[in-house]
Amino acid sequence: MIAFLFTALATISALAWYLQRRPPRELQFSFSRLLDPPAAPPEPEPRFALVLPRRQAAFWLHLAALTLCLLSVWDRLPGHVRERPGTIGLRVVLDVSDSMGVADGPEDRLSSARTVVRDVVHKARQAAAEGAYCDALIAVGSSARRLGPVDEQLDRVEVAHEGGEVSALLAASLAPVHEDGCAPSHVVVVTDQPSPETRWPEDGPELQWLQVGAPVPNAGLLRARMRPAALGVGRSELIIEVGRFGGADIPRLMLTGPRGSRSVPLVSSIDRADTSLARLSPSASGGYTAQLQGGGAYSGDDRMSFSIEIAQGVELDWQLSVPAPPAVRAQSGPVLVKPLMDASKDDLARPGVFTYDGWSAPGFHRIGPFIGSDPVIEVLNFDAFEAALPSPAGVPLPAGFEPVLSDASGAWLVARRSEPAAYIVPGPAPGGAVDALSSTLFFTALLEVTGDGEDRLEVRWPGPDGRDVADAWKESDTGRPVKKPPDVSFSSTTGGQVETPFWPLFLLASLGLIALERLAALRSERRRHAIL
Amino acid sequence: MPDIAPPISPDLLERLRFRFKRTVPINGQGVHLRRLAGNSLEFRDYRSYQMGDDVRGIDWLASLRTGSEHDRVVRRYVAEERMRVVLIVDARTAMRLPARAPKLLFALWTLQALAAVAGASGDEVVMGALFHPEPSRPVVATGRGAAPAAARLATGLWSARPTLLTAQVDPLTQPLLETFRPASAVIFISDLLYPDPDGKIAHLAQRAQRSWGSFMVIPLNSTPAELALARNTGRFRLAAAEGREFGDGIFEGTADFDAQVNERVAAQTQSNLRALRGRGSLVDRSVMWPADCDAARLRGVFANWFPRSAVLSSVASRRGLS
Repeated sequence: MIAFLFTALATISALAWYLQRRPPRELQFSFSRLLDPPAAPPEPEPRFALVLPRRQAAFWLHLAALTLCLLSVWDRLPGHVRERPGTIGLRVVLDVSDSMGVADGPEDRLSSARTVVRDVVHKARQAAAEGAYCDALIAVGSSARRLGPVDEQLDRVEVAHEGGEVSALLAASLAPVHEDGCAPSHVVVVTDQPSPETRWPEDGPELQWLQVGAPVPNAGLLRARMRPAALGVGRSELIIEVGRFGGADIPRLMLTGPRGSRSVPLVSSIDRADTSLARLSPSASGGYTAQLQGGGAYSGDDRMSFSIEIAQGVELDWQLSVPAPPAVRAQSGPVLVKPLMDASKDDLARPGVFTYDGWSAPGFHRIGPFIGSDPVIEVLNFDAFEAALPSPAGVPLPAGFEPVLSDASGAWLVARRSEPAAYIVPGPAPGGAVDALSSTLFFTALLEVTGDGEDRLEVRWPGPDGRDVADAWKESDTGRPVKKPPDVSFSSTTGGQVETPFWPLFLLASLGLIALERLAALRSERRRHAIL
Repeated sequence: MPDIAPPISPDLLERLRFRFKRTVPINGQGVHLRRLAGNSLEFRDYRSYQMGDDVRGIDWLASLRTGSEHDRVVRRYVAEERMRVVLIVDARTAMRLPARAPKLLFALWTLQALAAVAGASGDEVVMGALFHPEPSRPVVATGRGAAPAAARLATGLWSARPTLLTAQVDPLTQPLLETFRPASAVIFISDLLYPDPDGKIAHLAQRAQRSWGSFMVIPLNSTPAELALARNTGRFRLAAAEGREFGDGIFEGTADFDAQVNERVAAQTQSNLRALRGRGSLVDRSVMWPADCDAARLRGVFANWFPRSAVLSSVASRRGLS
């Protein structure tokens, strides 16, 4: 706007300059000597006259220059619109996870994928026609590997012994441009995984998800968990999960351990219909191998190896006057069990369960605020607990602890600390009226501190060729629905319209006109001075 | 700086010289040469009388001896070998007008072309200028050296810093007068608009015509071109010129102005011509400037005029005639 005003002002100034009534031009004639001066003196005239100096080339040159300047600052001046030649940058993201080796048709899935990729490249080249074309192949297993031009690298791609995920494929699709400079305008993902429902960037390249393979039933070993014996009471439990996909039958599970092989029955999971569980109590520590018989289409997940160690009892630093349970071994375990009143500052810094005498005197008759999700609270029967509510410890809460359960007066009854794990609870009162209640509260807290959760075992999946398949459980679902690949087309790959603005040309032409006017003026001046 | 060299090739000049040498009748053009016939010539031979021969050249006794009543023979004399051609250019500042096609440029082309022809004919060529802002001695050259000398003089005259148009400059005729010889051919190139209050140029012309000399004038008339400039400009002021001031007076390029100018120019030209005329004077036809004349068109005017000019035929045909 400011530029427009300045240019308009310049135009008006130029018009005013040229509309001035100038004194008549002075001429020289060789016959001047013979003439008489004019009789009538010149009459004064107004300075400006609304008569265009039509015969002055300089006026028209300046006017044209200023008009071009005005046009160049006009924001609605259209430019030259032309079609940009279509440019196709094709990024092929090829799934090379272990399941791509499944032969569920005349050929394995990777071979089918190669055929699909070649077809896509052919169509892309045809669509590019006279425009620029480039492509790049990215192989994705558990991670992405940039390989280079498709033609050169496609036949060199092999199945990787690792499990893949959709997220890895998407990440490779959206990865920034590599140094090879092939900016993707189209991304084609070729995989045996179904297309995810994801929000693709609107300004991102065009995504085409091509699924290969067929939905074939498969059963696979997913994971193994170990539940240790609680406070040394009972037996440890090994849980092996077997997934069934595509309507696969329940396979037979053979478990080989230090003490030989045996068949383990599989029971369907209560909450997951496609999962079967094998539960057993291993009697010895050592390496185990689970083997599925009738594992379905994908064999990479039919064998799983892991190692377990069965703990003998629980080690506690038991300093209560109440005798310790029989399963507690030694007196120097990491977890301290001690009355709160006797605990020093260093004791309070250790993981442990600290008790106070809460059951000897009746407490307030009503329960106050509590944290319902806490495991200690979950095991309580609040009616029974409220009927024999313990009295509070009556001391300030040690640093780092937070109340878990309080009475209606606000005094805390149970407190906990997350790190290191510790609880403050009323101590056990064996033989009294609250024997069961106090024991439930105390031992639940102790169980939480000593750790009772299931431990997921470190497992590996040795493949049929002996090589481990990393995260083979990710490949187990070979029964996913397979959509018919869409017809790949690159019709919308034109480069769009490019508008070349005219204003630089106008500005350049304006400068040229000004230079032309100056040149003409210079020549005229030189010619005049060259003679006289 | 415009091209000072005349727009006519040396080859054409040479061809013109030979053509006029053969074809010009002795009693037609070439006044100064015919006037050379006199006591200073030696007898060469007789030949039959031809139409146009001077009857004073008839040798009556020799004619009687031939036996035929109607045959007459004339005496032929050996011509003088070296003639003197004096080329004078009017170098007033006003001669540099009109600016797009200066008269001085045309005069210098003529000077160089005539010097080349005269030199090639074996004449002694003297070249000088009137109203020259830088007084100098006339240049004397002979034979093939005339053309280069004329070119140097022309360049010097054109490059000389002109005096202001308002100045009144003395014509300085004395140096030129000293170069005159009996039977010299003096050629004066001018627009004939110069002031000559003291009659110095008239005196120079009369001196040139003494002793069988001749005085030829080439008038240059650029008035049509200058009037066209006045018409195209419309209203204009006039710069002071040669002693005349016009102040802030406004002129208009109208038909009345044209008529006034043509009348004044014709009067001045005739006045000056009357002062120059004498027994041995020859006035060539005026060279007229076209209305829209520039340097390029002026070259065309010269190329068209010069081969047909009376002065050229006079200079070129002098040799071998008696």
